[in-house]
Amino acid sequence: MVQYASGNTTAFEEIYRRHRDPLYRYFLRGARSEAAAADLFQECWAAVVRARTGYRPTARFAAWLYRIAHSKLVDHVRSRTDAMLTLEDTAEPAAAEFERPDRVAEAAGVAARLLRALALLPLEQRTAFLLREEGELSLEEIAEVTGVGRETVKSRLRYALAKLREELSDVRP
Amino acid sequence: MSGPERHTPDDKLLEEFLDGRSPVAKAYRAASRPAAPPVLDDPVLKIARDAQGHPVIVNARPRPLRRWRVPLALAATMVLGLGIVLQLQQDRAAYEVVFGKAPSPAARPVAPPSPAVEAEAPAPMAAERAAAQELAQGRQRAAEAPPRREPKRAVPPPPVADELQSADVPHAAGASAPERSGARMAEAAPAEQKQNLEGRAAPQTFATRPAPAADARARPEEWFAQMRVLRDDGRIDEARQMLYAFRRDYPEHELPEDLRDLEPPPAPAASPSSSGDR
Repeated sequence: MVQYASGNTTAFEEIYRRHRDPLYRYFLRGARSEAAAADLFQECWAAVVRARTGYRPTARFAAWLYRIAHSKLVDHVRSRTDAMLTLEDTAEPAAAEFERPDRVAEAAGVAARLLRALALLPLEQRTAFLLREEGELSLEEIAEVTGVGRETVKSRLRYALAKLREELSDVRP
Repeated sequence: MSGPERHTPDDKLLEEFLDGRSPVAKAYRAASRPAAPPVLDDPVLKIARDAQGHPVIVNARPRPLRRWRVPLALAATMVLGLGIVLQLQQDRAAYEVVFGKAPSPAARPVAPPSPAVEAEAPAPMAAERAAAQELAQGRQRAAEAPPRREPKRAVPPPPVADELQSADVPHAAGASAPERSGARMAEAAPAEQKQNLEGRAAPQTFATRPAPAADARARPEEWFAQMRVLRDDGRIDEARQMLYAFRRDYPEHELPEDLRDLEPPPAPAASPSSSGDR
């Protein structure tokens, strides 16, 4: 990122290729919508480009990137009305990932059930899980990105894992 | 009681998750892992490339002109303001217009211009200075003098001291003292004073009195008539001052008998030594 900030466009393409898919999945499973994920994905990278001179290599680039991403995701979710959130929280996850013909077979499998359970988690628990799995952030980095304490992150992860494991209890004791 | 730290099942699950050994984590990674649509790549990369063409202003070094802009503007403002203040202090009339009251002579000790200096001064500047002075003095007199009723008779009021002083200033021959003073006041006075000059009865100043004569110079009879009016009115000093002014125009003219009492007593003869030095 430092190289890109100093004018090396190729450096940006490299970090883009490295983080594009995990970041996209973070948005897809955090926002539970392909359209919203695509918009948030572009907005996030545009914000990275704008803030390139403010980046300091004191922390990992991934932590800096997901801090921007998390802020975008939370703003997106909070910008919706309460009625929409209530409907979405009780509804099934976005159909795009689960009702396509090539995914029908998997939908009956464990992974599909896990993704469905993940989509039903509260936003704080869902993002904590995704930041760990997609962003590969440590507990401290997740705490910094989400603006809470380390113990709070651990608590959120415990709740998330308990619910996900319960969803898989019949297949994975 | 200080046994090994006990872990709840949730803690164990968390540790396994953080280590990547959790069955939940394995199931998640085994799930479909969609990639970002390739259609998103071009817009993002274009944004990144375009941004390199537009340097960020935050890190841009300030241009030299921008760095000096504020001090330069301050200096220019100070110079301009100082110039205006100095100009206003020299021009008392404008100073009054701007600040409402001219600085008192005591507050601003300025030596009165000597006649030599006045003679050397350019005509427009001298005229402006005289006009401003007359204007200031007129306003001061108007402010200080109590309102008094205008006399109904057309008796000329006594000449004011500064008017007589102005009569002492050397001037071009050919015009009488009353005329010259009136002409000068007409040039200098503002509109409201000009109205007085142009024809109202019972004016307050010597200049506003009707001139003894409209042509060359006043006739002696007119001077005498005015002197008699002043004398009969008991204003002997003013009558004598008018006689003094008359003598400037008519040094050799003989006075009527009834006005000779106004003439000052003859001065003692000068010593021969003092007059013989030249």
